[in-house]
Amino acid sequence: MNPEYIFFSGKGGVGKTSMASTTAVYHADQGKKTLIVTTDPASNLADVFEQPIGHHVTPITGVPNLWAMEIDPDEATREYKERSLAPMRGLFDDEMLKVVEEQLSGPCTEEMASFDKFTDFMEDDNWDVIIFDTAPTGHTLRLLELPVEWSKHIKDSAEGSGQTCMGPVALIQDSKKKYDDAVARLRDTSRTQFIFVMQAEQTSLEETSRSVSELAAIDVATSRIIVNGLVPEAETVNPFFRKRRDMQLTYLERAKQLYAGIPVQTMELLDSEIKGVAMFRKVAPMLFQRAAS
Amino acid sequence: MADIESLLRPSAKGARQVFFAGKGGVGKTTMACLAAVHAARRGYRTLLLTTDPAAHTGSVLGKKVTDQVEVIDGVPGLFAAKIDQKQATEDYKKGILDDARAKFDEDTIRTMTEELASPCTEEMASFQRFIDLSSTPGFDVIVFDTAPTGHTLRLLELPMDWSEQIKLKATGGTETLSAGDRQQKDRFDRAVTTMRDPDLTTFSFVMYPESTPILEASRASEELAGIGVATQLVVANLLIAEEQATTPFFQKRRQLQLGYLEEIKRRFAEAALLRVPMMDSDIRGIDKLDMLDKIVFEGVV
Repeated sequence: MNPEYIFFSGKGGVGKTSMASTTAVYHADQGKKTLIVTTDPASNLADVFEQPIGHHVTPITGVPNLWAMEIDPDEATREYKERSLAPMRGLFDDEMLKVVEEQLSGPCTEEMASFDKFTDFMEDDNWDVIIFDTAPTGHTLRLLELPVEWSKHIKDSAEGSGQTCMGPVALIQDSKKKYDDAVARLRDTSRTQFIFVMQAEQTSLEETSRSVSELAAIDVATSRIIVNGLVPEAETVNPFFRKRRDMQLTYLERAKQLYAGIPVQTMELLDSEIKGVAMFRKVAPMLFQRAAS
Repeated sequence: MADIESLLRPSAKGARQVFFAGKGGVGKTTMACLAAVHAARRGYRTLLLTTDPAAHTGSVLGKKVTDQVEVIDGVPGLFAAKIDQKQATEDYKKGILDDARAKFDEDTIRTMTEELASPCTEEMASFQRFIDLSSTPGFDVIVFDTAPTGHTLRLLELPMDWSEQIKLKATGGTETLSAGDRQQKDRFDRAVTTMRDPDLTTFSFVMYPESTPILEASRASEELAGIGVATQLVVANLLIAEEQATTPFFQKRRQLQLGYLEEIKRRFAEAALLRVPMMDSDIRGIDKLDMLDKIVFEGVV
């Protein structure tokens, strides 16, 4: 099997998990063996599927072809940090180790550690579709591309002073082939989709633009943009919400102009949260009909 | 729990700085403008610092905001300046790399360049500009629409400056580190100390009442608490007002929000809660801010 990968990207609160879960249920219902994975530290996958999930591949009740997993980012980061720090102990004094350790506590390290876990799944060909409800940023992908130069640097450094390089470098060197394969798969538009979810408002528009161009700069194409949370036309009887919808529509138009060449679809605000398998099945036709049109 | 008014004015100890933290799109910039207008209208000399890249603040305040501290017409005692994050970050990077080019080979420079592309650098550069501008004398209240994360504050506390950390990481510690700019480090230390003092700093989180934004804010708030910065104020934004919930659709959404409002109170039990209603359009112009000020602080509908 050649699994298909679907990444969902976007800031917290824009509706990423709802869209990813809906997509997962849709594919599973088509008879595809589907896995949904999240590394979001504030993951509410268990919440929306209304069952415990956790740090292992768990079957989803009521959806025969669907499994889910919540990667524990703290655990992943801890492992990653330890593997990176181990070779340095004994080489550096405590003050320096403290600096390195703190640097390895940053958002980038967390993202790298998560990506490291993603690549484990990307090597697993037992799935038809794997959905990631969090996507790596351009910065992380660029760091992953560095190893060629870094390994040379490590070599020089080792020959020169007998000291090894620091940070995630040693670890990245070991995993280089794995990462190179993963990045190549990410670039392969025949099997990977990158979907951005955003709200019809200024800040979300700016952030999406920034991320889309960052990915484009490292040859990862955006496949689709979902503008989420539009006030439905039917609910604009109240002038207050009429005005809000009109404001949203102007941002939608700007998104369409800005992302010419990338399909932009909309999802309307619903009267309740998108939660539970029944709700995902109700939302799926809205999402996929509009994707097709 | 302190009352909201006291969190937005100077204390007996000195000037007050107010930070607004939260994910993009939750309304940080609007809340910062609101807090600044609120303070200035009560007679405090107020400086509003923004990193808003879209000149949104300018249209909210009805005046172009530049990188210089300038007076805002129409609100006596209100001044504003913009921190261009992109420019600040570029300047900051350039300073470090120009210095490094004289000492290191191309590979090291490339590694440093990529390390400097980290989101932390942007925060560092902005925070540094914030310290520069906020030390402008004569202000009672300084409002900033961006806040450093707990991680950045921990990096600031390390014995080495961020630029030295980057050098160290890129060279594998093979290069002797420069003595560093002690003065810069001292300024950062003072800034972090001020941030820890609840009489001098109000750290606020802006969110809208839905599951993910609440979880994210509460995680970020815990991280800050870990380095001694308490969250004193939470702003629940985009609340659907009762009189707007005229259809079953929005009545249902309003009920949902009320449930999450309880969740916010539970998770931020130590913080004051400011409720801000959803408006029918973008908040633009001093008139609209004054109107929002009355709605939010005086309960005027």
